[in-house]
Amino acid sequence: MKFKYYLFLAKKSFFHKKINIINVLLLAISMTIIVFAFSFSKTFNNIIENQISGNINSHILLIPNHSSTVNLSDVDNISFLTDFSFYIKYVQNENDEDISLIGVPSNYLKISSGKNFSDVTDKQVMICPSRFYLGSDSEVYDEAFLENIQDGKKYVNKSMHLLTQNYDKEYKIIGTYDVNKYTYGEFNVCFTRQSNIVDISNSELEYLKNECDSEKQNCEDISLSNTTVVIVDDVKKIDETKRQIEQKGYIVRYMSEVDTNFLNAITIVLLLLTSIILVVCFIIMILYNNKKVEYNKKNNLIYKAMGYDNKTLIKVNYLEVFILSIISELLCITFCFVIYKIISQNFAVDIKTGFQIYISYLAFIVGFVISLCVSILTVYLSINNNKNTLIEELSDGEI
Amino acid sequence: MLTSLLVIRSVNMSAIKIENIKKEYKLKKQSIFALDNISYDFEYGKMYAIMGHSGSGKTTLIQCLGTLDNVTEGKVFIENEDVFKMSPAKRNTIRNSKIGFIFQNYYLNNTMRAYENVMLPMLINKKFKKSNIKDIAIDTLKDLGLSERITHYPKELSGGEQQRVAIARAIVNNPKIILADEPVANLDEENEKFVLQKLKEMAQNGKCVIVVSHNPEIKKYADVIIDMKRGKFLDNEI
Repeated sequence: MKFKYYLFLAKKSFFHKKINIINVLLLAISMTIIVFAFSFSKTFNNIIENQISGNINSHILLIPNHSSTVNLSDVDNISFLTDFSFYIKYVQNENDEDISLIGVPSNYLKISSGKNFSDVTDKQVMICPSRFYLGSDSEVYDEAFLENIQDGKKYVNKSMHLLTQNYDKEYKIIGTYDVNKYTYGEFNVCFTRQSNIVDISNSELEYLKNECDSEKQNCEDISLSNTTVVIVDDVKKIDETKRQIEQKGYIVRYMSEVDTNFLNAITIVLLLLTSIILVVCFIIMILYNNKKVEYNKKNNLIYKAMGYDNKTLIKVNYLEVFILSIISELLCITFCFVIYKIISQNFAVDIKTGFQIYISYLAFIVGFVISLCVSILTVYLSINNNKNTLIEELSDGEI
Repeated sequence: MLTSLLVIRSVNMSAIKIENIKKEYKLKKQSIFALDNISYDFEYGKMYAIMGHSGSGKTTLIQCLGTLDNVTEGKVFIENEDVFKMSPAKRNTIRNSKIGFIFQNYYLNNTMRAYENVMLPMLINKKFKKSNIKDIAIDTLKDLGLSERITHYPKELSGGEQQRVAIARAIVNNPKIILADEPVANLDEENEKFVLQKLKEMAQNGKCVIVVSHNPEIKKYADVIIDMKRGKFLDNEI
């Protein structure tokens, strides 16, 4: 039989039955649920990725009561060491806007635009986030806050004065890092050379000592922190690194305690939830297919009376389910787009944590393939296993 | 004269021959024979009326004659070929090209227009591979008095018109055998006469027409009347 006749029979079977409207909706909803289940998992995994792997605080071990002269050369997975005083400083710019400054080695940071420290010779340079919040109150999380978010790229090659006690220097922003990938739980975290942090620390110390002297107090206690900050490369191996340092006799603490058991449990729960949703959708698709095939049974038997064989009928039905799956997929994409727009408007990207909703595009393919495979299998089994005779099947005049 | 003899011979050739056929249905505690050891020769050029009460086996018989169902025992020959020894593909071809079915309830496809229903048997018939099957379908409907109803859907047609479409569908492939199961049961008098007359004409044109019915009106049209009871043929009348 010519292909155009197959298409003719499939189109007639599909487009003229009201039941197919329900079938299309049911299938589209099943596919949409699959997409959202996958997307939810992907979003959560990305949160974990950003919050943990992308968060420098998760990479930090602290060795209290020891300066950074501790010998850890034979410990694996260490990116760099520094004294806590020379790790992070909280400064303001000339507009009284807060900036957190972290000192890192030259090529520690992956930049998203501009230059890295090793590309320039200037000392007072910094790499800042791809999205800046330059408002006075960084804790207020409202409409005004969102409006104040600036594109970090606008600040590349611009300068700002950084001020703290006894310190005022002009810094040039030479590049940006992707704030979705690196999160620090704070706004406006910029990175600079470690030597700058040392300078700021020493300035602060000098200021405090002068203040103390002028008030004629006991100034002996004023000193820099005596804690070593160890930054590890791979956050997944941080426990092993901690163990190796402890074996040398040091007491080691996490800067940011990550309950990996809890996170693993959440991941497993999400995986189970996604699997259950997949199975439920699978069952819905099988049930819908059985109903559809029941509906087509009489039709198929009349065709057999005219001399149509199983092979021809199967092909016609395959074409029909293919049309059905395509239309359902398009509807699913529309549903997902609309729902995503609604959700995105209500849960704007969280500048602070880098939270973002992700759509799993793979899920569209998975949903379509599952729908098609289930439909094809049900059609094949139903037509080949239908042993009823024409008279047994036909009880009224309609097909 | 020789030509006439040849015509007479082909007209009286066996279309369907059944030998000792039985059809058994096994229930939980007993078996029922819907067809019980029937033998008969159905010839071309005749209209057969198979009559009997409900449950006599008429419908089962017509299903077996049309290869829609197997027999438990016995043989069914269509033009001297044992149909149940053929491959399923060959049986499909025979159903498509040599047999036309007409049912009591028409069984038209409600999603298709009248001419599209008539086109259905031609879609899989290689004979019409290069033909304009739409035109053939329309012409067949016109021959049955349905020129005004060609593009209508079955729901827009009366019972009589639907049965005419069903007849058109059954004969569009020009089959040699017509099997009709209660073709006039749902029709009014006028349409009943029309359908029965058409079937008679088909028989006169050389086809083997077998009609199952309990309507006594058919006796006026049939060449052979066969009574059935409890799966057996009772007697013949000409």
